[in-house]
Amino acid sequence: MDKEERSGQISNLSPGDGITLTCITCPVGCELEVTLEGEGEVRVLNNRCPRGVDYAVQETTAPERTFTSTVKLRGSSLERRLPVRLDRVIAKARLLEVAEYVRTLEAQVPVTMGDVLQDDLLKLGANLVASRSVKE
Amino acid sequence: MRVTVIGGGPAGMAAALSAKRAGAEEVLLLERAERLGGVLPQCIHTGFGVSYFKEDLTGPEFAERLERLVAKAGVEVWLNSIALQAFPDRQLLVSTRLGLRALRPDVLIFAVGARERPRGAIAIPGDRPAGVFTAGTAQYMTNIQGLQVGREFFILGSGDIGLIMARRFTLEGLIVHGVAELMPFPGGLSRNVQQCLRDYAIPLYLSHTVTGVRGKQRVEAVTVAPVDPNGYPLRDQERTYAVDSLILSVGLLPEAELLRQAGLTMAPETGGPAVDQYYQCEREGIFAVGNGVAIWDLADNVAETAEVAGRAAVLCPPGRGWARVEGRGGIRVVIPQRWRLEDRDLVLHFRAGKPTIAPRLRVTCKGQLLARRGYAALRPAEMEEIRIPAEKLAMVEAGDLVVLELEEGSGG
Ligand SMILES: Cc1cc2nc3c(=O)[nH]c(=O)nc-3n(C[C@H](O)[C@H](O)[C@H](O)COP(=O)(O)OP(=O)(O)OC[C@H]3O[C@@H](n4cnc5c(N)ncnc54)[C@H](O)[C@@H]3O)c2cc1C
Ligand code: SF4
Repeated sequence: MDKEERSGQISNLSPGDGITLTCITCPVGCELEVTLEGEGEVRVLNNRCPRGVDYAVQETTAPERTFTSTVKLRGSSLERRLPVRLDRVIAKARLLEVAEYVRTLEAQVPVTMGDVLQDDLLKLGANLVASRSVKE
Repeated sequence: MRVTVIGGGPAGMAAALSAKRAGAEEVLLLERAERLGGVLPQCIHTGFGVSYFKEDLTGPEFAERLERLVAKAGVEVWLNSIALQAFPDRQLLVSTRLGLRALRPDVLIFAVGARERPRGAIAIPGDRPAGVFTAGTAQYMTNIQGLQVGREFFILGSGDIGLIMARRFTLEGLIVHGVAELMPFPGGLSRNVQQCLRDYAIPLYLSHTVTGVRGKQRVEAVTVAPVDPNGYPLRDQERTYAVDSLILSVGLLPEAELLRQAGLTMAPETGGPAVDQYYQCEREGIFAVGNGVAIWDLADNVAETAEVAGRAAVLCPPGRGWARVEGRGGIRVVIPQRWRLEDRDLVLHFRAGKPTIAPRLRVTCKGQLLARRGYAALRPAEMEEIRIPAEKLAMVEAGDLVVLELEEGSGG
Protein backbone atom coordinates (compact mmCIF):
# COMPACT_ATOMS: atom_id res chain seq x y z
CA MET A 1 0.00 0.00 0.00
CA ASP A 2 1.33 3.44 -0.82
CA LYS A 3 2.03 6.06 1.79
CA GLU A 4 -0.65 8.40 0.53
CA GLU A 5 -3.43 6.01 1.45
CA ARG A 6 -2.02 5.00 4.83
CA SER A 7 -1.60 8.48 6.13
CA GLY A 8 -4.98 9.71 4.93
CA GLN A 9 -5.78 13.40 5.19
CA ILE A 10 -2.76 14.17 7.34
CA SER A 11 -0.36 13.42 4.47
CA ASN A 12 -1.21 16.79 2.91
CA LEU A 13 0.64 18.56 5.69
CA SER A 14 4.00 20.09 5.05
CA PRO A 15 6.68 21.04 7.58
CA GLY A 16 5.64 23.92 9.81
CA ASP A 17 1.96 23.03 9.64
CA GLY A 18 0.17 22.61 12.96
CA ILE A 19 -2.76 20.35 13.76
CA THR A 20 -4.70 19.21 16.80
CA LEU A 21 -4.90 15.47 17.41
CA THR A 22 -6.82 13.63 20.11
CA CYS A 23 -4.48 11.07 21.60
CA ILE A 24 -6.40 7.80 21.82
CA THR A 25 -3.66 5.82 23.56
CA CYS A 26 -5.38 6.01 26.93
CA PRO A 27 -8.74 7.25 28.25
CA VAL A 28 -7.35 10.67 29.29
CA GLY A 29 -7.60 11.72 25.64
CA CYS A 30 -5.14 14.63 25.53
CA GLU A 31 -5.74 17.21 22.79
CA LEU A 32 -2.27 17.28 21.29
CA GLU A 33 -1.00 20.40 19.52
CA VAL A 34 1.23 18.93 16.85
CA THR A 35 3.61 20.84 14.61
CA LEU A 36 5.38 19.06 11.77
CA GLU A 37 9.10 19.76 11.83
CA GLY A 38 10.17 17.52 8.96
CA GLU A 39 9.97 13.92 7.74
CA GLY A 40 8.49 11.93 10.65
CA GLU A 41 9.53 14.61 13.12
CA VAL A 42 6.97 16.44 15.19
CA ARG A 43 6.81 18.88 18.08
CA VAL A 44 4.05 18.03 20.52
CA LEU A 45 2.37 20.18 23.18
CA ASN A 46 -0.37 19.31 25.70
CA ASN A 47 0.57 15.66 26.13
CA ARG A 48 0.36 14.49 29.71
CA CYS A 49 2.80 11.63 29.15
CA PRO A 50 5.53 10.63 26.66
CA ARG A 51 3.25 8.17 24.86
CA GLY A 52 1.47 11.17 23.37
CA VAL A 53 4.58 11.95 21.30
CA ASP A 54 4.76 8.39 19.95
CA TYR A 55 1.10 8.62 19.07
CA ALA A 56 1.57 11.93 17.23
CA VAL A 57 4.45 10.52 15.18
CA GLN A 58 2.50 7.38 14.31
CA GLU A 59 -0.72 9.22 13.55
CA THR A 60 0.96 11.71 11.20
CA THR A 61 2.88 9.01 9.31
CA ALA A 62 0.97 5.71 9.42
CA PRO A 63 -2.10 5.72 11.68
CA GLU A 64 -2.90 2.45 13.44
CA ARG A 65 -5.93 1.11 15.31
CA THR A 66 -6.97 -1.94 17.26
CA PHE A 67 -9.68 -4.14 15.78
CA THR A 68 -12.41 -6.01 17.66
CA SER A 69 -15.58 -7.75 16.53
CA THR A 70 -17.64 -10.89 17.13
CA VAL A 71 -17.98 -14.11 15.13
CA LYS A 72 -20.70 -16.73 15.04
CA LEU A 73 -20.16 -19.37 17.73
CA ARG A 74 -21.24 -22.98 17.13
CA GLY A 75 -22.04 -25.63 19.70
CA SER A 76 -22.74 -23.50 22.78
CA SER A 77 -25.96 -23.81 24.75
CA LEU A 78 -25.53 -20.30 26.20
CA GLU A 79 -23.65 -18.07 23.75
CA ARG A 80 -24.34 -17.31 20.10
CA ARG A 81 -21.45 -14.93 19.46
CA LEU A 82 -17.80 -15.03 20.38
CA PRO A 83 -16.03 -11.70 20.91
CA VAL A 84 -12.71 -11.55 19.04
CA ARG A 85 -9.79 -9.14 18.64
CA LEU A 86 -6.60 -8.76 16.71
CA ASP A 87 -3.60 -9.19 19.00
CA ARG A 88 -1.85 -6.10 17.65
CA VAL A 89 -2.73 -2.81 15.99
CA ILE A 90 -3.08 -2.65 12.21
CA ALA A 91 -3.13 0.13 9.65
CA LYS A 92 -6.26 2.20 10.11
CA ALA A 93 -6.94 2.10 6.38
CA ARG A 94 -7.41 -1.71 6.48
CA LEU A 95 -10.13 -1.79 9.18
CA LEU A 96 -13.18 -2.04 6.91
CA GLU A 97 -11.62 -4.75 4.81
CA VAL A 98 -10.70 -6.73 7.93
CA ALA A 99 -14.21 -6.31 9.33
CA GLU A 100 -15.73 -7.60 6.13
CA TYR A 101 -13.49 -10.67 6.16
CA VAL A 102 -14.05 -11.42 9.87
CA ARG A 103 -17.82 -11.42 9.25
CA THR A 104 -17.37 -14.62 7.26
CA LEU A 105 -15.62 -16.51 10.07
CA GLU A 106 -17.05 -18.88 12.69
CA ALA A 107 -15.76 -20.49 15.86
CA GLN A 108 -16.60 -23.72 17.65
CA VAL A 109 -16.79 -24.46 21.40
CA PRO A 110 -14.83 -25.10 23.52
CA VAL A 111 -12.84 -21.86 23.18
CA THR A 112 -10.40 -20.37 25.67
CA MET A 113 -9.60 -16.68 25.94
CA GLY A 114 -6.45 -16.03 23.92
CA ASP A 115 -6.96 -18.95 21.51
CA VAL A 116 -5.71 -18.03 18.05
CA LEU A 117 -8.65 -18.43 15.65
CA GLN A 118 -6.69 -17.35 12.61
CA ASP A 119 -3.01 -16.50 12.43
CA ASP A 120 -1.59 -13.69 10.33
CA LEU A 121 -5.03 -12.51 9.30
CA LEU A 122 -5.01 -11.22 5.70
CA LYS A 123 -1.20 -11.19 5.95
CA LEU A 124 -1.37 -8.18 8.28
CA GLY A 125 0.99 -9.70 10.80
CA ALA A 126 -1.71 -9.87 13.48
CA ASN A 127 -3.60 -12.89 14.81
CA LEU A 128 -7.31 -13.07 15.44
CA VAL A 129 -7.83 -14.29 19.02
CA ALA A 130 -10.82 -15.12 21.22
CA SER A 131 -11.65 -12.40 23.80
CA ARG A 132 -13.35 -14.84 26.13
CA SER A 133 -13.70 -18.51 27.03
CA VAL A 134 -16.85 -20.47 26.29
CA LYS A 135 -16.61 -24.04 27.51
CA GLU A 136 -19.96 -25.47 26.46
CA MET B 1 -17.89 -12.54 58.99
CA ARG B 2 -20.40 -13.00 56.19
CA VAL B 3 -20.35 -10.58 53.28
CA THR B 4 -22.97 -10.62 50.52
CA VAL B 5 -22.39 -8.73 47.29
CA ILE B 6 -25.32 -8.04 44.96
CA GLY B 7 -24.30 -7.77 41.30
CA GLY B 8 -21.55 -9.62 39.45
CA GLY B 9 -20.17 -6.83 37.26
CA PRO B 10 -16.62 -5.48 37.69
CA ALA B 11 -17.68 -3.62 40.85
CA GLY B 12 -19.22 -6.67 42.51
CA MET B 13 -16.38 -8.99 41.52
CA ALA B 14 -13.68 -6.59 42.75
CA ALA B 15 -15.52 -5.95 46.02
CA ALA B 16 -16.06 -9.66 46.68
CA LEU B 17 -12.44 -10.41 45.85
CA SER B 18 -11.01 -7.79 48.20
CA ALA B 19 -13.42 -8.71 51.03
CA LYS B 20 -12.25 -12.31 50.76
CA ARG B 21 -8.60 -11.26 50.63
CA ALA B 22 -9.12 -9.03 53.67
CA GLY B 23 -10.17 -12.09 55.65
CA ALA B 24 -13.96 -12.43 55.45
CA GLU B 25 -14.83 -16.10 56.07
CA GLU B 26 -17.84 -16.24 53.77
CA VAL B 27 -18.27 -14.06 50.71
CA LEU B 28 -21.32 -14.63 48.52
CA LEU B 29 -21.68 -12.99 45.11
CA LEU B 30 -25.20 -12.81 43.63
CA GLU B 31 -25.79 -12.25 39.92
CA ARG B 32 -29.16 -12.28 38.24
CA ALA B 33 -27.79 -13.09 34.78
CA GLU B 34 -26.42 -16.45 33.67
CA ARG B 35 -22.88 -15.09 33.46
CA LEU B 36 -20.66 -12.81 35.51
CA GLY B 37 -19.31 -9.58 34.06
CA GLY B 38 -22.22 -7.13 34.13
CA VAL B 39 -22.12 -4.99 31.00
CA LEU B 40 -18.54 -5.98 30.16
CA PRO B 41 -19.28 -9.06 27.97
CA GLN B 42 -21.13 -6.82 25.51
CA CYS B 43 -18.37 -4.16 25.49
CA ILE B 44 -16.21 -6.03 22.98
CA HIS B 45 -13.99 -3.00 22.25
CA THR B 46 -10.66 -2.34 23.96
CA GLY B 47 -9.98 0.38 26.53
CA PHE B 48 -10.42 -1.63 29.70
CA GLY B 49 -7.80 -2.59 32.26
CA VAL B 50 -5.10 -0.05 31.39
CA SER B 51 -4.80 0.92 35.03
CA TYR B 52 -6.19 -2.15 36.89
CA PHE B 53 -4.41 -4.89 34.90
CA LYS B 54 -1.77 -2.68 33.22
CA GLU B 55 -2.95 -3.97 29.86
CA ASP B 56 -5.34 -2.71 27.21
CA LEU B 57 -8.12 -5.30 27.30
CA THR B 58 -11.56 -5.78 25.78
CA GLY B 59 -14.55 -5.83 28.14
CA PRO B 60 -14.92 -9.65 27.98
CA GLU B 61 -11.20 -10.09 28.71
CA PHE B 62 -11.36 -7.71 31.68
CA ALA B 63 -14.37 -9.63 33.03
CA GLU B 64 -12.78 -13.03 32.57
CA ARG B 65 -9.55 -11.95 34.29
CA LEU B 66 -11.55 -10.80 37.30
CA GLU B 67 -13.74 -13.89 37.19
CA ARG B 68 -10.68 -16.15 37.44
CA LEU B 69 -9.37 -14.22 40.46
CA VAL B 70 -12.81 -14.45 42.11
CA ALA B 71 -12.95 -18.22 41.61
CA LYS B 72 -9.40 -18.69 42.87
CA ALA B 73 -10.02 -16.65 46.02
CA GLY B 74 -12.89 -18.92 47.06
CA VAL B 75 -15.81 -16.52 46.64
CA GLU B 76 -19.13 -18.36 46.43
CA VAL B 77 -21.01 -17.36 43.27
CA TRP B 78 -24.75 -17.77 42.68
CA LEU B 79 -25.75 -17.13 39.07
CA ASN B 80 -29.38 -16.72 37.96
CA SER B 81 -30.01 -15.28 41.41
CA ILE B 82 -31.80 -11.99 41.73
CA ALA B 83 -32.04 -9.98 44.92
CA LEU B 84 -35.76 -9.18 44.94
CA GLN B 85 -36.00 -7.16 48.09
CA ALA B 86 -33.63 -5.55 50.58
CA PHE B 87 -34.41 -4.30 54.08
CA PRO B 88 -32.71 -1.64 56.23
CA ASP B 89 -31.49 -4.33 58.65
CA ARG B 90 -29.58 -6.02 55.77
CA GLN B 91 -32.12 -8.78 55.26
CA LEU B 92 -32.30 -9.88 51.69
CA LEU B 93 -34.81 -11.89 49.71
CA VAL B 94 -33.18 -13.73 46.82
CA SER B 95 -34.84 -15.68 44.03
CA THR B 96 -32.62 -18.57 42.92
CA ARG B 97 -33.02 -21.61 40.72
CA LEU B 98 -33.67 -23.60 43.89
CA GLY B 99 -36.39 -21.24 45.06
CA LEU B 100 -36.59 -18.22 47.33
CA ARG B 101 -33.89 -17.72 49.94
CA ALA B 102 -33.70 -15.24 52.82
CA LEU B 103 -30.25 -14.00 53.89
CA ARG B 104 -28.99 -11.66 56.57
CA PRO B 105 -25.27 -11.02 56.08
CA ASP B 106 -23.08 -8.94 58.40
CA VAL B 107 -22.17 -6.71 55.49
CA LEU B 108 -24.21 -6.02 52.37
CA ILE B 109 -22.49 -4.54 49.31
CA PHE B 110 -24.65 -3.19 46.49
CA ALA B 111 -22.92 -3.45 43.11
CA VAL B 112 -26.06 -3.30 41.01
CA GLY B 113 -24.80 -1.08 38.19
CA ALA B 114 -26.80 1.42 36.16
CA ARG B 115 -29.67 1.41 33.74
CA GLU B 116 -30.12 3.49 30.65
CA ARG B 117 -32.27 6.55 31.06
CA PRO B 118 -35.79 5.59 30.05
CA ARG B 119 -37.06 6.90 26.76
CA GLY B 120 -39.99 8.70 28.35
CA ALA B 121 -37.52 11.10 29.91
CA ILE B 122 -36.73 12.44 26.46
CA ALA B 123 -39.96 13.34 24.83
CA ILE B 124 -39.57 13.05 21.08
CA PRO B 125 -42.72 14.04 19.25
CA GLY B 126 -44.05 11.85 16.46
CA ASP B 127 -45.04 8.25 15.87
CA ARG B 128 -43.87 5.31 17.91
CA PRO B 129 -42.79 2.85 15.24
CA ALA B 130 -40.38 -0.04 15.81
CA GLY B 131 -36.72 0.77 15.29
CA VAL B 132 -36.02 3.02 18.28
CA PHE B 133 -33.42 1.45 20.59
CA THR B 134 -31.31 2.52 23.51
CA ALA B 135 -27.60 2.21 22.74
CA GLY B 136 -27.06 -0.47 25.38
CA THR B 137 -29.86 -2.62 24.01
CA ALA B 138 -28.49 -2.22 20.48
CA GLN B 139 -25.08 -3.26 21.80
CA TYR B 140 -26.51 -6.33 23.55
CA MET B 141 -28.46 -7.35 20.43
CA THR B 142 -25.42 -6.94 18.19
CA ASN B 143 -22.65 -8.38 20.35
CA ILE B 144 -24.40 -10.99 22.51
CA GLN B 145 -27.46 -12.04 20.53
CA GLY B 146 -25.96 -11.60 17.07
CA LEU B 147 -29.05 -9.82 15.74
CA GLN B 148 -29.06 -7.11 13.12
CA VAL B 149 -30.54 -4.00 14.71
CA GLY B 150 -31.12 -2.08 11.47
CA ARG B 151 -29.42 -0.86 8.28
CA GLU B 152 -29.37 2.92 8.42
CA PHE B 153 -28.99 4.74 11.70
CA PHE B 154 -29.21 8.11 13.34
CA ILE B 155 -27.93 8.46 16.91
CA LEU B 156 -29.29 10.88 19.50
CA GLY B 157 -26.83 11.67 22.27
CA SER B 158 -23.05 11.48 22.22
CA GLY B 159 -22.54 9.28 25.28
CA ASP B 160 -19.78 6.68 24.99
CA ILE B 161 -22.11 3.77 24.27
CA GLY B 162 -23.61 5.57 21.29
CA LEU B 163 -20.18 6.50 19.94
CA ILE B 164 -18.93 2.94 20.30
CA MET B 165 -22.01 1.65 18.50
CA ALA B 166 -21.57 4.16 15.66
CA ARG B 167 -18.19 2.56 14.94
CA ARG B 168 -19.50 -0.95 15.45
CA PHE B 169 -22.34 -0.43 12.94
CA THR B 170 -19.97 1.16 10.41
CA LEU B 171 -17.54 -1.75 10.62
CA GLU B 172 -20.48 -4.10 10.09
CA GLY B 173 -21.08 -2.38 6.76
CA LEU B 174 -24.12 -0.44 7.98
CA ILE B 175 -24.63 3.29 7.60
CA VAL B 176 -24.61 5.85 10.40
CA HIS B 177 -25.90 9.19 9.13
CA GLY B 178 -24.90 11.24 12.14
CA VAL B 179 -24.95 11.86 15.87
CA ALA B 180 -26.91 14.74 17.42
CA GLU B 181 -25.93 16.13 20.80
CA LEU B 182 -28.14 18.62 22.62
CA MET B 183 -25.24 20.16 24.54
CA PRO B 184 -22.53 22.28 22.88
CA PHE B 185 -19.94 19.63 23.83
CA PRO B 186 -19.76 15.84 23.43
CA GLY B 187 -21.02 13.60 26.22
CA GLY B 188 -18.47 10.84 25.69
CA LEU B 189 -14.68 10.69 26.01
CA SER B 190 -12.69 12.62 23.39
CA ARG B 191 -10.86 9.46 22.35
CA ASN B 192 -14.20 7.92 21.40
CA VAL B 193 -15.19 11.00 19.39
CA GLN B 194 -11.90 10.53 17.51
CA GLN B 195 -11.76 6.78 16.99
CA CYS B 196 -15.51 6.13 16.60
CA LEU B 197 -16.73 9.18 14.64
CA ARG B 198 -13.88 11.16 13.06
CA ASP B 199 -12.08 8.01 11.92
CA TYR B 200 -15.12 7.15 9.80
CA ALA B 201 -16.17 10.70 8.91
CA ILE B 202 -19.45 10.35 10.82
CA PRO B 203 -20.77 13.86 11.49
CA LEU B 204 -21.31 15.01 15.09
CA TYR B 205 -23.91 17.76 15.33
CA LEU B 206 -23.43 19.63 18.61
CA SER B 207 -26.33 21.73 19.94
CA HIS B 208 -28.74 19.66 17.86
CA THR B 209 -31.62 17.38 18.72
CA VAL B 210 -34.04 14.96 17.11
CA THR B 211 -37.33 16.79 16.65
CA GLY B 212 -39.43 13.97 15.25
CA VAL B 213 -39.65 10.31 14.32
CA ARG B 214 -41.66 9.21 11.29
CA GLY B 215 -42.84 5.79 10.15
CA LYS B 216 -45.81 3.46 10.46
CA GLN B 217 -44.55 0.02 11.46
CA ARG B 218 -40.86 0.79 11.31
CA VAL B 219 -38.93 4.05 11.54
CA GLU B 220 -38.71 5.63 8.07
CA ALA B 221 -37.13 8.98 8.90
CA VAL B 222 -36.07 11.27 11.70
CA THR B 223 -35.94 15.06 11.67
CA VAL B 224 -33.04 16.88 13.30
CA ALA B 225 -32.67 20.57 14.13
CA PRO B 226 -30.18 22.86 15.84
CA VAL B 227 -31.22 24.25 19.22
CA ASP B 228 -30.95 27.80 20.52
CA PRO B 229 -28.99 28.53 23.72
CA ASN B 230 -32.08 27.64 25.78
CA GLY B 231 -32.35 24.24 24.15
CA TYR B 232 -35.36 25.04 21.93
CA PRO B 233 -35.19 23.51 18.43
CA LEU B 234 -35.01 25.93 15.51
CA ARG B 235 -37.70 24.31 13.36
CA ASP B 236 -36.94 26.33 10.24
CA GLN B 237 -33.51 24.69 10.06
CA GLU B 238 -34.86 21.15 10.39
CA ARG B 239 -33.32 18.44 8.25
CA THR B 240 -34.69 14.98 7.47
CA TYR B 241 -32.67 11.76 7.47
CA ALA B 242 -34.07 8.62 5.89
CA VAL B 243 -33.10 5.93 8.42
CA ASP B 244 -34.72 2.76 9.73
CA SER B 245 -33.33 3.05 13.26
CA LEU B 246 -32.87 5.71 15.90
CA ILE B 247 -30.38 4.94 18.66
CA LEU B 248 -30.72 6.78 21.97
CA SER B 249 -27.48 7.27 23.84
CA VAL B 250 -28.61 9.62 26.53
CA GLY B 251 -26.75 8.36 29.54
CA LEU B 252 -27.02 6.05 32.50
CA LEU B 253 -28.60 6.35 35.92
CA PRO B 254 -27.67 4.26 38.97
CA GLU B 255 -30.07 1.40 39.59
CA ALA B 256 -31.70 2.75 42.75
CA GLU B 257 -34.76 0.61 43.48
CA LEU B 258 -33.17 -1.96 45.78
CA LEU B 259 -31.16 0.66 47.65
CA ARG B 260 -34.30 2.66 48.36
CA GLN B 261 -35.86 -0.45 49.87
CA ALA B 262 -32.86 -0.73 52.14
CA GLY B 263 -33.79 2.69 53.51
CA LEU B 264 -31.20 4.75 51.65
CA THR B 265 -31.93 8.12 50.10
CA MET B 266 -30.50 8.96 46.69
CA ALA B 267 -28.32 12.03 46.12
CA PRO B 268 -29.91 14.19 43.40
CA GLU B 269 -26.59 14.94 41.60
CA THR B 270 -25.58 11.31 41.15
CA GLY B 271 -28.87 9.42 41.35
CA GLY B 272 -27.10 7.01 43.71
CA PRO B 273 -26.81 6.81 47.50
CA ALA B 274 -24.51 9.12 49.45
CA VAL B 275 -21.31 7.30 50.43
CA ASP B 276 -18.22 7.98 52.52
CA GLN B 277 -14.63 7.43 51.33
CA TYR B 278 -15.03 3.69 52.01
CA TYR B 279 -18.27 3.60 50.03
CA GLN B 280 -20.30 2.94 53.15
CA CYS B 281 -23.82 4.34 52.90
CA GLU B 282 -25.65 6.17 55.64
CA ARG B 283 -26.49 2.82 57.25
CA GLU B 284 -23.87 0.82 59.09
CA GLY B 285 -22.82 -2.34 57.26
CA ILE B 286 -24.31 -1.30 53.91
CA PHE B 287 -21.94 -0.34 51.11
CA ALA B 288 -22.52 0.69 47.50
CA VAL B 289 -19.97 0.52 44.70
CA GLY B 290 -19.55 0.94 40.94
CA ASN B 291 -22.12 2.48 38.63
CA GLY B 292 -24.75 1.94 41.33
CA VAL B 293 -23.16 4.86 43.22
CA ALA B 294 -22.37 7.24 40.39
CA ILE B 295 -21.51 6.79 36.73
CA TRP B 296 -17.77 6.24 36.41
CA ASP B 297 -16.13 6.49 32.99
CA LEU B 298 -14.03 3.40 33.29
CA ALA B 299 -14.36 -0.13 34.54
CA ASP B 300 -10.89 0.39 36.02
CA ASN B 301 -12.14 3.16 38.33
CA VAL B 302 -15.08 0.96 39.21
CA ALA B 303 -12.90 -2.01 40.16
CA GLU B 304 -10.37 0.08 42.08
CA THR B 305 -12.96 1.90 44.16
CA ALA B 306 -14.92 -1.31 44.78
CA GLU B 307 -11.75 -2.88 46.17
CA VAL B 308 -11.53 -0.09 48.72
CA ALA B 309 -15.08 -0.90 49.82
CA GLY B 310 -14.53 -4.65 50.02
CA ARG B 311 -11.50 -4.22 52.24
CA ALA B 312 -13.18 -1.62 54.49
CA ALA B 313 -16.26 -3.82 54.82
CA VAL B 314 -14.09 -6.35 56.64
CA LEU B 315 -11.49 -4.21 58.37
CA CYS B 316 -13.98 -1.40 59.17
CA PRO B 317 -11.79 1.36 60.63
CA PRO B 318 -13.50 2.89 63.68
CA GLY B 319 -15.21 6.19 62.85
CA ARG B 320 -15.00 9.46 64.81
CA GLY B 321 -18.00 10.87 62.99
CA TRP B 322 -18.58 12.29 59.53
CA ALA B 323 -18.26 15.62 57.75
CA ARG B 324 -20.28 16.48 54.63
CA VAL B 325 -18.65 17.11 51.27
CA GLU B 326 -20.30 19.28 48.64
CA GLY B 327 -19.50 20.46 45.11
CA ARG B 328 -20.41 24.01 44.11
CA GLY B 329 -20.01 26.53 41.32
CA GLY B 330 -19.29 24.42 38.26
CA ILE B 331 -18.73 21.11 40.07
CA ARG B 332 -21.55 18.69 39.38
CA VAL B 333 -20.68 15.41 41.06
CA VAL B 334 -18.49 14.70 44.08
CA ILE B 335 -17.72 11.26 45.49
CA PRO B 336 -17.67 10.74 48.46
CA GLN B 337 -20.42 13.00 49.78
CA ARG B 338 -19.44 12.17 53.38
CA TRP B 339 -15.99 12.01 54.91
CA ARG B 340 -15.43 9.63 57.79
CA LEU B 341 -12.97 11.51 60.01
CA GLU B 342 -9.56 9.82 60.05
CA ASP B 343 -5.85 10.62 59.81
CA ARG B 344 -5.35 9.90 56.13
CA ASP B 345 -5.31 11.76 52.85
CA LEU B 346 -8.69 12.10 51.18
CA VAL B 347 -9.17 11.74 47.43
CA LEU B 348 -12.28 13.42 46.04
CA HIS B 349 -13.62 12.26 42.66
CA PHE B 350 -15.56 14.91 40.81
CA ARG B 351 -17.07 15.91 37.50
CA ALA B 352 -17.31 19.45 36.08
CA GLY B 353 -20.69 20.74 34.91
CA LYS B 354 -19.32 22.17 31.65
CA PRO B 355 -16.01 22.21 29.77
CA THR B 356 -13.59 24.62 31.44
CA ILE B 357 -10.13 25.59 30.24
CA ALA B 358 -7.33 26.09 32.78
CA PRO B 359 -9.48 26.06 35.92
CA ARG B 360 -8.14 26.15 39.46
CA LEU B 361 -9.99 24.11 41.99
CA ARG B 362 -10.04 24.66 45.73
CA VAL B 363 -11.29 22.71 48.69
CA THR B 364 -12.21 24.65 51.82
CA CYS B 365 -13.74 24.07 55.22
CA LYS B 366 -14.89 26.81 57.59
CA GLY B 367 -13.18 29.36 55.38
CA GLN B 368 -9.81 27.59 55.49
CA LEU B 369 -8.02 26.29 52.43
CA LEU B 370 -7.48 22.50 52.45
CA ALA B 371 -6.22 21.96 48.91
CA ARG B 372 -5.82 23.77 45.61
CA ARG B 373 -4.97 22.44 42.19
CA GLY B 374 -4.90 23.67 38.60
CA TYR B 375 -6.00 21.59 35.61
CA ALA B 376 -5.21 21.98 31.92
CA ALA B 377 -8.91 21.46 31.26
CA LEU B 378 -11.99 19.91 32.85
CA ARG B 379 -14.55 18.10 30.76
CA PRO B 380 -17.95 16.85 31.95
CA ALA B 381 -17.27 13.48 30.27
CA GLU B 382 -14.34 12.83 32.56
CA MET B 383 -14.24 12.06 36.25
CA GLU B 384 -11.27 13.88 37.82
CA GLU B 385 -9.73 13.79 41.26
CA ILE B 386 -8.08 16.00 43.85
CA ARG B 387 -6.12 14.86 46.90
CA ILE B 388 -6.34 16.57 50.30
CA PRO B 389 -3.41 15.86 52.62
CA ALA B 390 -4.16 14.40 56.05
CA GLU B 391 -2.46 17.26 57.93
CA LYS B 392 -4.83 19.78 56.32
CA LEU B 393 -7.83 17.67 57.24
CA ALA B 394 -6.93 17.64 60.94
CA MET B 395 -9.01 20.79 61.53
CA VAL B 396 -12.23 19.25 60.14
CA GLU B 397 -14.71 18.13 62.79
CA ALA B 398 -17.81 15.96 62.72
CA GLY B 399 -20.75 17.82 61.17
CA ASP B 400 -18.54 20.28 59.25
CA LEU B 401 -19.02 21.04 55.57
CA VAL B 402 -16.14 20.58 53.12
CA VAL B 403 -16.67 22.51 49.88
CA LEU B 404 -15.12 21.80 46.49
CA GLU B 405 -15.41 24.63 43.96
CA LEU B 406 -13.84 26.36 40.97
CA GLU B 407 -11.90 29.45 41.98
CA GLU B 408 -13.36 32.67 40.79
CA GLY B 409 -11.60 34.19 37.83
CA SER B 410 -10.03 30.88 36.85
CA GLY B 411 -11.14 28.81 33.89
CA GLY B 412 -13.04 30.00 30.83
C1 LIG C 1 -21.17 0.61 26.06
C2 LIG C 1 -20.23 0.82 27.18
C3 LIG C 1 -18.93 1.11 26.88
C4 LIG C 1 -17.98 1.25 27.89
N1 LIG C 1 -16.69 1.48 27.54
C5 LIG C 1 -15.73 1.45 28.50
C6 LIG C 1 -14.33 1.52 28.15
O1 LIG C 1 -13.95 1.64 26.99
N2 LIG C 1 -13.42 1.43 29.13
C7 LIG C 1 -13.81 1.29 30.43
O2 LIG C 1 -12.94 1.17 31.30
N3 LIG C 1 -15.12 1.26 30.79
C8 LIG C 1 -16.09 1.33 29.85
N4 LIG C 1 -17.42 1.26 30.20
C9 LIG C 1 -17.79 1.34 31.61
C10 LIG C 1 -17.82 0.04 32.35
O3 LIG C 1 -18.32 -0.99 31.57
C11 LIG C 1 -18.71 0.24 33.54
O4 LIG C 1 -18.18 1.32 34.26
C12 LIG C 1 -18.73 -0.96 34.47
O5 LIG C 1 -19.15 -2.12 33.79
C13 LIG C 1 -19.65 -0.73 35.65
O6 LIG C 1 -19.56 -1.83 36.51
P1 LIG C 1 -20.64 -2.20 37.60
O7 LIG C 1 -20.18 -3.49 38.17
O8 LIG C 1 -20.86 -1.07 38.49
O9 LIG C 1 -22.01 -2.40 36.81
P2 LIG C 1 -22.48 -3.49 35.76
O10 LIG C 1 -21.40 -3.89 34.87
O11 LIG C 1 -23.71 -2.93 35.15
O12 LIG C 1 -22.87 -4.75 36.66
C14 LIG C 1 -23.99 -4.76 37.53
C15 LIG C 1 -24.43 -6.20 37.70
O13 LIG C 1 -25.38 -6.29 38.75
C16 LIG C 1 -26.37 -7.22 38.40
N5 LIG C 1 -27.58 -6.91 39.19
C17 LIG C 1 -28.28 -5.74 39.21
N6 LIG C 1 -29.32 -5.83 40.06
C18 LIG C 1 -29.29 -7.08 40.60
C19 LIG C 1 -30.10 -7.77 41.54
N7 LIG C 1 -31.16 -7.19 42.08
N8 LIG C 1 -29.77 -9.04 41.86
C20 LIG C 1 -28.69 -9.64 41.29
N9 LIG C 1 -27.88 -9.03 40.39
C21 LIG C 1 -28.18 -7.77 40.05
C22 LIG C 1 -26.55 -7.00 36.92
O14 LIG C 1 -27.13 -8.12 36.30
C23 LIG C 1 -25.11 -6.76 36.46
O15 LIG C 1 -24.48 -7.96 36.10
C24 LIG C 1 -18.39 1.13 29.23
C25 LIG C 1 -19.72 0.87 29.53
C26 LIG C 1 -20.65 0.71 28.55
C27 LIG C 1 -22.07 0.40 28.91
S1 SF4 D 1 -0.63 11.72 25.98
FE1 SF4 D 1 -0.42 10.11 27.53
S2 SF4 D 1 -1.96 10.70 29.09
FE2 SF4 D 1 -2.49 11.84 27.23
S3 SF4 D 1 -4.01 10.52 26.17
FE3 SF4 D 1 -1.97 10.04 25.33
S4 SF4 D 1 -1.30 8.28 26.52
FE4 SF4 D 1 -2.95 9.23 27.69
